[in-house]
Amino acid sequence: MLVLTRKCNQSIRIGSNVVIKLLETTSGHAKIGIDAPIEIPVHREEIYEKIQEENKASLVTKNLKPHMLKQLFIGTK
Amino acid sequence: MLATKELPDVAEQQVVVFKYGIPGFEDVKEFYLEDIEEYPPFKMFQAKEYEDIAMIVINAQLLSSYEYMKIPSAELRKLDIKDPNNVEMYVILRANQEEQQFTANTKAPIIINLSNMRGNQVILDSNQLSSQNRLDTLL
Repeated sequence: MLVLTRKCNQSIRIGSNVVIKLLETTSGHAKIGIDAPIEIPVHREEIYEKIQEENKASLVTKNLKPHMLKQLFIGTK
Repeated sequence: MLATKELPDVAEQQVVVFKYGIPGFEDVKEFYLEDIEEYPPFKMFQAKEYEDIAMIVINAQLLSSYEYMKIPSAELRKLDIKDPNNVEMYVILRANQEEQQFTANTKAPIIINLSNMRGNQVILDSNQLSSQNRLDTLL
């Protein structure tokens, strides 16, 4: 991993169009500003990982019991 | 019906393109929605090229947390959404076999722009939403 030291209000440019700026630091927290083209998705890593896991766990398996869906269906009526 | 099966031919106009895939399946770019005949309003969110990649979804409008599920304007721009009425939002369901119930991921719904058939899974920023809501509490 490339490690760089930045002072507040200094930036890092990644490629030609992504700029990451250190805005503020307070006791172990860093506030970071990100300028990136709209087509580049930006997420907090731990939240993205959680959604990844959730999506994988949501795959319909062949042993999904039909009566579970039935219960669900009754619940929506 | 519930097990994934041989994929039928899907009309091109039904295929939704996810430019970046969805989290966990970043390389899967094409999905379509299929009715689960016996059990409306549930639908199967099915990857076009991979029969094993399929999830059960429900239209977000049917859930009580829908009022908190506001799509950020940046996400609208990403899909080139000009008419919010032409957008569908679906919530992915996860079966919990042990507890015999489903949870709903209201934190990260699938949105589809029907006018250009482009979609994205968005991560919403409301603490009223969760990736594991018990479905029975939302209906």
